[in-house]
Amino acid sequence: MKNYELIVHPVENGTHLRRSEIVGCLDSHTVIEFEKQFDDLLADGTATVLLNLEKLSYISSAGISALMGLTHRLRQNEGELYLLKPTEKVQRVFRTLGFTNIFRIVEDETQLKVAQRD
Amino acid sequence: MPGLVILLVALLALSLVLLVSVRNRAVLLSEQNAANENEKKIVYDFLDRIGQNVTSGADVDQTIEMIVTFAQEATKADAAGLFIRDAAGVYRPRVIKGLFPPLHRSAAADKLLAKRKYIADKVMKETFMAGDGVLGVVAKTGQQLLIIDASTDERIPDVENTGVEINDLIITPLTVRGEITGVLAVVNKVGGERFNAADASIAAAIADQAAVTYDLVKLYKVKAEQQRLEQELALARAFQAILIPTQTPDLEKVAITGFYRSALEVGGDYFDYIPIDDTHLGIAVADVSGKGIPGALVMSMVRATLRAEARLSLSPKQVLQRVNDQTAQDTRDSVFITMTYGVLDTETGIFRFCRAGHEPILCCSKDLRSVKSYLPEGIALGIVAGETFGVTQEMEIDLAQEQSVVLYTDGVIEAVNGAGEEYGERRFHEALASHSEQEPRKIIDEVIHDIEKFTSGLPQHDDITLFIVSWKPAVQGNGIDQLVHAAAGRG
Repeated sequence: MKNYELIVHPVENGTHLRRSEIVGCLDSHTVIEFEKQFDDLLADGTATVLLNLEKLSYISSAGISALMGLTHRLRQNEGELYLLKPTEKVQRVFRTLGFTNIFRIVEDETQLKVAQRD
Repeated sequence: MPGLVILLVALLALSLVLLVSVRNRAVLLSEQNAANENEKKIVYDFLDRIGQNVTSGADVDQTIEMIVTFAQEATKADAAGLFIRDAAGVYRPRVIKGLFPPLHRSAAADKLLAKRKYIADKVMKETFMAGDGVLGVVAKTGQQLLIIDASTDERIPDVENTGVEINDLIITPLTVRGEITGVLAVVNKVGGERFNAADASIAAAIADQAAVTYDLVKLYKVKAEQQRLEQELALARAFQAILIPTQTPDLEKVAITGFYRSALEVGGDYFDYIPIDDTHLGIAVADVSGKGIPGALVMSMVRATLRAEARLSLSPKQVLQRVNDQTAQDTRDSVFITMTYGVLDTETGIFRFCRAGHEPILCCSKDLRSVKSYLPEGIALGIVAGETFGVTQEMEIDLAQEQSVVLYTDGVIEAVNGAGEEYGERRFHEALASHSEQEPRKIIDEVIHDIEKFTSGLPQHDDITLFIVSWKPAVQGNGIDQLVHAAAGRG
């Protein structure tokens, strides 16, 4: 029984924005698949990711590590990982770790800065 | 281990001899005695070679290669190939000797095939399923196939398709405990002869040996991997045990009472007591995000840096800032460590601390039977070097007022029961509060008992570290001694 799914939407014309959504939990088991999926996504030049966390029910330290790793990789390409609407429970984990100072957590898409394609 | 291998080989040898003699009787009744003797000699020779191979320390892969070479030589074949079935039921070439033709039906004509090298390449890439082509037929039926004249057999692809002329061949299934695990094929008898029933019998005996040996290889591999994992775990556990103090400091006015239990898989908990000077003690509780050996290595680095920096400053923020800068340089982007580090004035009971992304710091008061939770701003170590880390706040607790400080790792609150629920902060705080008037040792015992009751014997999946730093109640009639000692300490 696997309690994890990553929904990935196609990149809109004229932007570098990749919308995606996690459903389920991100722990040491599901994180392997999560990282592999983003390896593939980043290979196509995705620079900015909007990751919807509304349906992320649980995140472990392995999951946080994965989000941190992804943030670093995107920032190296002058991109960004935006985390959309984490639940109160997930927010609390971010706050405890002090990662609210590091992650870009947004409540809606107007807060995004996305590079436009030439 | 080698002793076991030799024993196994001896057993196999015995069974093989019995097998061959049965075969001889069944298949070769009409053959001459001389031919029988010859066949027996070949098989004995084969067993000798396997024995030598194993006792000389050759690995099982080499032994398998030797088996195929032997099949080629003993049947006087131009080429031999061993195909092994994988977990998905796909047969893949394992060892190919000589000019082995691509036997798959779908092998397309290709001019390049005329070159030997390309034929070998093609054969090594060729896979098939049971039922596919002439090899697949044997894989499916488990019946040996002796084809004396390939030119009249339509199952055999012709030379335009393979690049190699096929005259005759023997295809033998590898069977272990009734299951077909592979196929051994010998092709084209040399010296103008054709394969006969005696060759088929030899091939069958060798295939039996190959099947059992290959089974052994798999067994060894699984065992070796298990051993490697167990060794790694034992190493990480031993390593972690070295890093963690076994004794709590004995202080006059402050009691430190702790509990630590590592999980089977070894979490990344670390705690430490660092004497700074006569009246100051550094206290750290940490959790590394990685487990196993990588986690233990990061932990050892953090420990070394912390121990060096702690002695240089009485400011926990300054110490953590330096540890953070060093750790951020040394670790991968995604590895982080949460830590609460504080400096305790063992005379006044003032505890100054910082929380680098770690669990909240709790204070228990005996009189109030309550728990206060402090969550000052702070970022986990190893993620951002430099200024951003500066948001981390320093806080101060007066132990003489608050009476006790509780430090712990997430293994306490994330203990899980059979329904998948976490023990959680609420239950933890309640357990602490309801026993807060008792001695620290008793409080810890009660909390651990409460967690164990909650998880009802399920295996612990993360390290648990829990300790209480408390102000000792003034002992009646001992006040003067304390003052004298304190004055001497300051002098």
